[in-house]
Amino acid sequence: MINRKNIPNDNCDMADALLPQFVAGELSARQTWQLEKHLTSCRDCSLKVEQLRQTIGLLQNCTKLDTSDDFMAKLHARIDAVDASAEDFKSSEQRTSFRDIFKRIGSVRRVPGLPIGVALGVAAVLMISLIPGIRPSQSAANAYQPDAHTSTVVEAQLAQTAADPLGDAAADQLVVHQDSSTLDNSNP
Amino acid sequence: MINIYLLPKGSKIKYALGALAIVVCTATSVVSAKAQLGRTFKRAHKPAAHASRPLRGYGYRPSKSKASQQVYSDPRAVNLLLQTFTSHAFYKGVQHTQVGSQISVQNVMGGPQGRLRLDYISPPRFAGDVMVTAPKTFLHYISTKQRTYVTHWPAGKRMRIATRLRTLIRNGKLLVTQTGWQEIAGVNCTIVRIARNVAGVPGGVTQRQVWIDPANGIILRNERWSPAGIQSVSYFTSIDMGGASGVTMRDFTVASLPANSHRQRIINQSTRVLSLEAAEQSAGIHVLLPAYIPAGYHINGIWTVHHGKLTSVLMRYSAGVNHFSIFEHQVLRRGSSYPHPPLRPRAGVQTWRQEADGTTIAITYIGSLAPSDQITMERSFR
Amino acid sequence: MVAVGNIMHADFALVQRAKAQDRAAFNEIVLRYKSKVYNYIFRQVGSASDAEDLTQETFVRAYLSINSFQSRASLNTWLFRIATNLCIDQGRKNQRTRSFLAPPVREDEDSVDQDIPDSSFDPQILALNSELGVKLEAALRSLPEKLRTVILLYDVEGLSYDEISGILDCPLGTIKSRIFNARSALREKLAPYLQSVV
Repeated sequence: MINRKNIPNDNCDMADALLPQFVAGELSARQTWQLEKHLTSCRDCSLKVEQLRQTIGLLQNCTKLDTSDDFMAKLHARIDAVDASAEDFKSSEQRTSFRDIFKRIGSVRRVPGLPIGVALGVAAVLMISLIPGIRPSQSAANAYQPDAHTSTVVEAQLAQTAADPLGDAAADQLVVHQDSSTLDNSNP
Repeated sequence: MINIYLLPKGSKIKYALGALAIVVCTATSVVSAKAQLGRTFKRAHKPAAHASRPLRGYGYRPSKSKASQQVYSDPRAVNLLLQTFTSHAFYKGVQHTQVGSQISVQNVMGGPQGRLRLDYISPPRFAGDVMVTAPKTFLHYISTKQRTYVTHWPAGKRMRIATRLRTLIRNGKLLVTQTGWQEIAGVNCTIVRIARNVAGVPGGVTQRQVWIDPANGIILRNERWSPAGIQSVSYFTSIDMGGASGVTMRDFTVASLPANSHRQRIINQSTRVLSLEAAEQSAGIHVLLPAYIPAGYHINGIWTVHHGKLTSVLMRYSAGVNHFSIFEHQVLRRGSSYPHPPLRPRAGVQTWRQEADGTTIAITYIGSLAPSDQITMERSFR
Repeated sequence: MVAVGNIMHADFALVQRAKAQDRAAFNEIVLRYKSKVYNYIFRQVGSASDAEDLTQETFVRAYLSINSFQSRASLNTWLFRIATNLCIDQGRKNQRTRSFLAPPVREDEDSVDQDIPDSSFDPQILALNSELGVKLEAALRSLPEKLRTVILLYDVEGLSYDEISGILDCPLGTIKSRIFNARSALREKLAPYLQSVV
């Protein structure tokens, strides 16, 4: 059903994933040809392409706004004020003062990464600590979990179902964590 | 069936729904679909500019290229179904779930934006476990392990699921019809049937039947179907709604779970890739593909999933609202106890190993295909 | 290519003079870039007064740190980098204030309604076309900050993948996929208004 490199012609989802690259002209010749073939037979997808192109056109032709008339005057006032305060510190702690300012500038960039970094670190530690721990002796019910990877994949699936009103996480829980005593019966 | 939190943020991917098998044509059609051509209906919250117009574009304008069948969704049923995605009601009740001969009972609490909490009463192996679904998180507390699995996903996931559903209905790939009324746990419900539109099968092949409380948009009974019949069912035996339920937002937070549990974050990074070659390069394996795919299924997308130092390739196949997933990764440890290609299908999850280009690949199937389809597919990996 | 080269050359000369405390040269830099920076910041923060204030702050910071400016980077990129960091900071401040003042936004159902495409050729929809610009601004504001930033830098300001990758300290692949995602998200949001002009 899936062919390497092929887009199944009725597969709007796959076409959908290729549209951004298509519009940006970044698809290979083969992919372009295949997508275009799909577009000729699919009104929904060709409409999407048209809309995407229009959206990009709108973005590239955004109304240009201008700053207020007294922008320059205000800016110079601010710069003068900063200069003046810098002068005040110059004799005593000039270097520190500027370093602080640079630090502030730098920190604006660095701060956003910090909590993410910490979170990733914690997540990594949790993952690592988990890998040896998950393997062993689960109860008969959960015995069929060869490794941590499968275990997380199964949890991920429950989460997937849970977010969907038409999914039924309670039913999935029974399916993926079957009681081993019933397994043999269910699979003759 | 797996997966939204696996996907890159903001990706325009069609998210998935449930978890059952579907096969195809040989189905007994359960209820005949009623065509409701041209009927107009009003949407609950319309932007002003649209106020005087009937909403178009649901089921009664199927894509012309898929001409086959003149069957259409019922706009009222579609509307009711979509209400379940936006329900704001608090409720609390007892729910029974049955899959084959297995039964579980849970205390259920529900709230706005799909908040749902299941406290397991039985069977004994699940008793004390808790599952909590909130707009950006899924928590699964397992009492015997004192562990809480935490899955995060981008905001707006339910919206994407709804959009996906709407697209399938609009394209005429799914048929949504109202099939009757029935009282569940003292609440008058409308029965809505969701079927995959299959050429030659009048009314399509049933995938879900849901009993919806039209006043609150709550699903009180959820049946998942395969062509062979009902695969699983969950239904309330009692329910209180609104203030009487005593449910609050706090019931859906991690703070409401046992404080001493160890928290583990589930798969946290994945990337959608556009070709098998890209996936293979990323995972460092030669991906094996099933030569046999059950009728009606097509590949929905390929992702690489990063878990520790391991990169797996995830391939997701779907038919209507049903899905199954295949994960493949390189077996890093010698002597890992993965079994050889399966002789019998194991329902739900099955992992086995196969050799490819001198490396050992572990393949995991997750889904609810019919056993015969599952084993045929599993043994067709090349 | 020649034009770009000239601009960079002129920028380089201006920066050298500004580094030597030449206020007129710095003035020239501001005049050259203030509109670009202001438009970018305005679309990030959505308020004219905040945008003006942050644009000034961008140039104040540029003035203070002009000596740390590496000549091999482009001035354009450097200014957008300062502006982006200010916007992120401002966004975070606003979020903190908002979370105390306002009830939580109901993220799901509002967007569900916005999302419903309607491919009619209705006169009412056609009338909305004159307001497409307004819709676009609103759609941009509703994007997550990360997506908005890349789409503004790439499609609106015309920066290259490489430049954006430098500004955001992100790999090229991430930038590309964010651009694609942002375009797709915008298309979806604007769909009801675009279809009528197909």
